[in-house]
Amino acid sequence: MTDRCPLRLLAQGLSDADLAKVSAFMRLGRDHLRGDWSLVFDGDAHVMMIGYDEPVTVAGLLENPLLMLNVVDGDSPLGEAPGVLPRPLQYESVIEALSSAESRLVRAAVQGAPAPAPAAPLPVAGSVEALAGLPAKTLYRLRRWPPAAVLQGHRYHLRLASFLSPRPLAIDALARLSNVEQEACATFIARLHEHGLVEVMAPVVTPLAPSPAPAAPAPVKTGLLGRIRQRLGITWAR
Amino acid sequence: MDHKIVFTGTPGAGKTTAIAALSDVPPVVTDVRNTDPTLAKERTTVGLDFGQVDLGDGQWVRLFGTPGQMRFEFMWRILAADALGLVILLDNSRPDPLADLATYLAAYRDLLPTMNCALGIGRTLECPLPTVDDYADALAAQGLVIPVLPVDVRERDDVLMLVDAVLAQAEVRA
Repeated sequence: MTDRCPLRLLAQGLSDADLAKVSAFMRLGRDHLRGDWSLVFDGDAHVMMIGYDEPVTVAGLLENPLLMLNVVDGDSPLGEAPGVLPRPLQYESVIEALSSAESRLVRAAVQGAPAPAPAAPLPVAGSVEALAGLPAKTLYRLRRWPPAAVLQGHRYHLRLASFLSPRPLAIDALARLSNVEQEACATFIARLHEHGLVEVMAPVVTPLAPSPAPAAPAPVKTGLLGRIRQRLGITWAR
Repeated sequence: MDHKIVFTGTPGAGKTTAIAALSDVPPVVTDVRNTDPTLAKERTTVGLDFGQVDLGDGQWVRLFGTPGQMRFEFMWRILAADALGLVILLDNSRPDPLADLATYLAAYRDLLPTMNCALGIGRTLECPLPTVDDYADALAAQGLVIPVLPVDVRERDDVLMLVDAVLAQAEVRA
């Protein structure tokens, strides 16, 4: 029994070797994806992957796919462009592309936009709005390390999850520590929340001080860690 | 003042390479000719690897790599004591990588709840199973929340991602 959403990848103009790879990657990457992807050759689809310069007419294709992917030769100057997958096809890039399409479907569902593809949208158990009713200082902590599919999308997801692993943090504290925009932090936590990966804790109430406390200097250790990052060339999100 | 990051993990997982990717100077290694037929490499570490990063102002980050063989287990915890962070590197091409994980979790059991730690899985392209999520499941089964990510330790950026994950935890705990 499964509640995974059926999703269609329409392949066009790909060699047998490319098709075999894509098919194998979809099978291997099943645990990293939220939908049940199938490789099809006609009809509407969520993602279209083409090996030609331009798509040709496809029987039964009525709606624009959510995502277009072009497979090009490895030495093509387009190899680094968005939506372009250079040969030889790599597992990570194909799975990342499919995951990206899934995220677009989720966003479309959250925004109430009609899904551009024929299958039902992915189930969305929560969203940023789900967090909106919680106090601003609500604390969040990872229950467990998230699946790879949840971390895909941006490199800072890994950093945000790392910050949330040792102890509970409020969104503003997470934003300050990670140097990632507060809205992006909230969106990421909402995504974790959707998957039941964060523990939500009531904010710690501290008694009012008689006068505003002076801003505490940054802990020495934080300065040290910043210097280590700087020295090693670990770049920040902003 | 010295700060320490320790790289541990199975033989052949790339501890020496990871340290070399970060160190200011060529790492000091204690490799000897490999006589273990299960390891597909000519040389293996029997003492420890050592590299360092100069932060200026007399502060250093010392990078230590433990020997991977089980017979050197006594050194693993000695090196990890008072470390700023611990990076566990596993090789997905070994016969039972999840058992390897269990070995290292057991070895560092009492340190892990308070240790800044990240788990890097190597050779996931050649050997996609177990998946990174399988490792995360294994950690969750033990109540551990440890960053786990696929790495190619020959890529400095991959090593930096592991270190970044460790530093993020250190920053929250600071």
